[in-house]
Amino acid sequence: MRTSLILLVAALSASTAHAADVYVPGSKNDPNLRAAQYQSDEGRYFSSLTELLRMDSESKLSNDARWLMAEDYLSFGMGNKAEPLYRDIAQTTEDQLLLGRARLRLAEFSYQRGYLDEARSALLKMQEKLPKKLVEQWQDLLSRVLMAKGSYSEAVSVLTNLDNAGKQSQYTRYNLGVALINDGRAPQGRDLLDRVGRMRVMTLEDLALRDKANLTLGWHFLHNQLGGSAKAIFGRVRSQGPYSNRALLGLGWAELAPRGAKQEHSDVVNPEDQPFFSSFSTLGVLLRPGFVDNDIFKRAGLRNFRLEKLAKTEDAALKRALVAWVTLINRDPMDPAVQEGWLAIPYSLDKLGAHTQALQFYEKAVEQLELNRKRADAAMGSIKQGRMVDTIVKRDIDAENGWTWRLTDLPDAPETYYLQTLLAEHRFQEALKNYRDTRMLAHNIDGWQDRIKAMEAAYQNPDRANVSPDVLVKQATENKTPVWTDTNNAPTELRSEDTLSVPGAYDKPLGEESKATPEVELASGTPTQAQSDHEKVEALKGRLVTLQKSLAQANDEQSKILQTLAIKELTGQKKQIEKYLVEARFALARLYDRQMKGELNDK
Amino acid sequence: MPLKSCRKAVRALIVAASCATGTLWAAAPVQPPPESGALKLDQTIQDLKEEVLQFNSDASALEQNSLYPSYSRTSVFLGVRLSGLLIKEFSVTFDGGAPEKFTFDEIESLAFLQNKGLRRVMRVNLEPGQHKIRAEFIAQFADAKPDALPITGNLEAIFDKNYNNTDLGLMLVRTGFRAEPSLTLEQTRSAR
Repeated sequence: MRTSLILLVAALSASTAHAADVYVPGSKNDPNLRAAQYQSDEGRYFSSLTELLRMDSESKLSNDARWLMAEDYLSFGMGNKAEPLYRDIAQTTEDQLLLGRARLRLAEFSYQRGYLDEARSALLKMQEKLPKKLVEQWQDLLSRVLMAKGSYSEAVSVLTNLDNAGKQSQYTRYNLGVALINDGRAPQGRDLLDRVGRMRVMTLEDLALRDKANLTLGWHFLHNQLGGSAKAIFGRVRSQGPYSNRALLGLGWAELAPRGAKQEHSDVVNPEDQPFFSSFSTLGVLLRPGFVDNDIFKRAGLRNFRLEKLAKTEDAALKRALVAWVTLINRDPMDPAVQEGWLAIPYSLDKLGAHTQALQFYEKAVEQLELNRKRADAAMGSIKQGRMVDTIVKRDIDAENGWTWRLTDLPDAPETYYLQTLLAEHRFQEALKNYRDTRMLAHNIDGWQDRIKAMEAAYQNPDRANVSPDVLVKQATENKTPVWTDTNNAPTELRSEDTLSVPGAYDKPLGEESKATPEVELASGTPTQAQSDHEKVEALKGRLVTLQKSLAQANDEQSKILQTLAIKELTGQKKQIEKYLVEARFALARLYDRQMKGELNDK
Repeated sequence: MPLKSCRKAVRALIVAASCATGTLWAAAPVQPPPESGALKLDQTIQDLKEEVLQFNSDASALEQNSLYPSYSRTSVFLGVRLSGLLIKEFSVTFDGGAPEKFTFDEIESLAFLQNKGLRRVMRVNLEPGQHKIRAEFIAQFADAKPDALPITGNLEAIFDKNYNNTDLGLMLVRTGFRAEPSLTLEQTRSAR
């Protein structure tokens, strides 16, 4: 009695849910759609799509659901499926901004995957109805597509026709600068790059962009024999950063290159332009007077010397170049800039008449380059065995983020040091994403083997058959208004009947009225839709085997493409190392020869 | 900083910077486009993805029917309708049984807040009729001080499991202006 009372009180104290709210399947209120939305929001596009496809097979999807499906398809790297969905939604939606953003994202996908013509055509097509808010994004993307196609002049037109430079991002300005230089309009290009190289920075990305602009401009000046201008620009690059090694190399050459004419800045005044200031240590700091004069030869491992034949200014320039290069050769030896630094030092010493010192440095350079050649061989072996790609994608193997996956850092493997530039390129990144995806899909399909076994076990479970017929009838009639009536127009009650004869057991003759044979038209062939669950499971098993094979083949082909790219890149770098080695050895031979002849009398 | 870790940090930065901007490497020299073989394979993989998705959709529908027949299927969804509230832990139990416990990492907690999504936390088989559900949560506001006590709460409710698939939505909400976050139960059913 007491227990019952407690239970009653407990039951009353618990709140009771209201009557169930009704939702239209596939509509905004369908909890299954909201669950797909949640999966999409946590980057599980594959799971979200699976849910949406299941819903689609059961009922008509609302526009909200179809929009989510298009977004998921694109995020999972399936632009082909996303594009027609967006096109369909465009017929009915009023939200041009949302649609415009989706189209830009689709074009970005095409661009990154390498479908440049498709990207260009899609962007030009959307120009007519382009919302104002998206103009700058559209210009930026179209210009990148055109530059990737080598159409610099067209890219410049896209970025300048609308006269909206003030609204463009620094990235766009950088690209415009590059496009202008490549289009033969160097002064305007230089001016833009110079502005980006002096921009106010707020984030690490800004810093990287500013360094990149200064590096590009510096090397442009250097190639045009404008050492004086190049030197100032290289000096703006941070001393520690992704572009610092290339800048150090350039800074050294800029000291020894002809100064060239002074460059004029544009007359256009932009309030955002600032005189260059950075709270980060930049390469310019390396050339402060005390640092250059004190002990540069000691740091370079050279005996202090003064070349009598050199003018005072040349001697000072050499010292400053050595400051940059000695700093450089103490950095990552696998960086091609560092390798070049090892040759730049003796080359300059030799040019300036310091032959003995040049000889010493060439010997060290050969040692370093030989070491690098061995490392490159080891890296090549690792790539050929497929270890490199596996190592890169080892983490988050089951992540479902497809196209939105980003490689944020690199494993500590020798080959990745040589391939940094290639690894950051779209052609490699996108291939890597496909490789990851095929592995994830294969893993998913393998997992279904056990799940299918569990399904078969559930169908064979004897308890499963014991569902009361009443339950099934109630299930069929619940929440439904009967549409059938008996002769008195009263609703016919549907109930289970367990006293009927089993099929075939009824043997009384049929009445006269039943004698007429009804006309029955039989469909030809076996009905495809009338599969039992057991048959469906059997069909799944067949599909599973086929998919396993196809995925393994696709994964293998993708792996080969990545290997080919990596080997091509590494072969190029190895050739460069060998070229440096030949140069170093030839220079050494020449110097030894002159030493034997007694011609090396540098003082 | 040791040389190696410094080098690694710089390498991470190179990749992060180039990926984040998307344009850094798009400049001169322009990246060569992929070869036609790579594009053809991309098309094949896109088709394969569709086949695998269709397989998963068909298989999961069958799995759902076999393991959770619709007359007993009960799905529990969890949602958070309070801006800035990050759910950390959640548990649910039916009719005094053993609780099913869930913990959420930051990405999962944030996903609740983005587009009013619901997470399907579980599916169970329950006989048609009256049942008792008990759920508990531990959460914290994103801007809470590090030493702030976590927000906790629970809900007990009785609901009628009908003869068709039943959906139960547990929503983390604030029921009044100054009320503490609490759970509410919503029962929904398909019109089909």
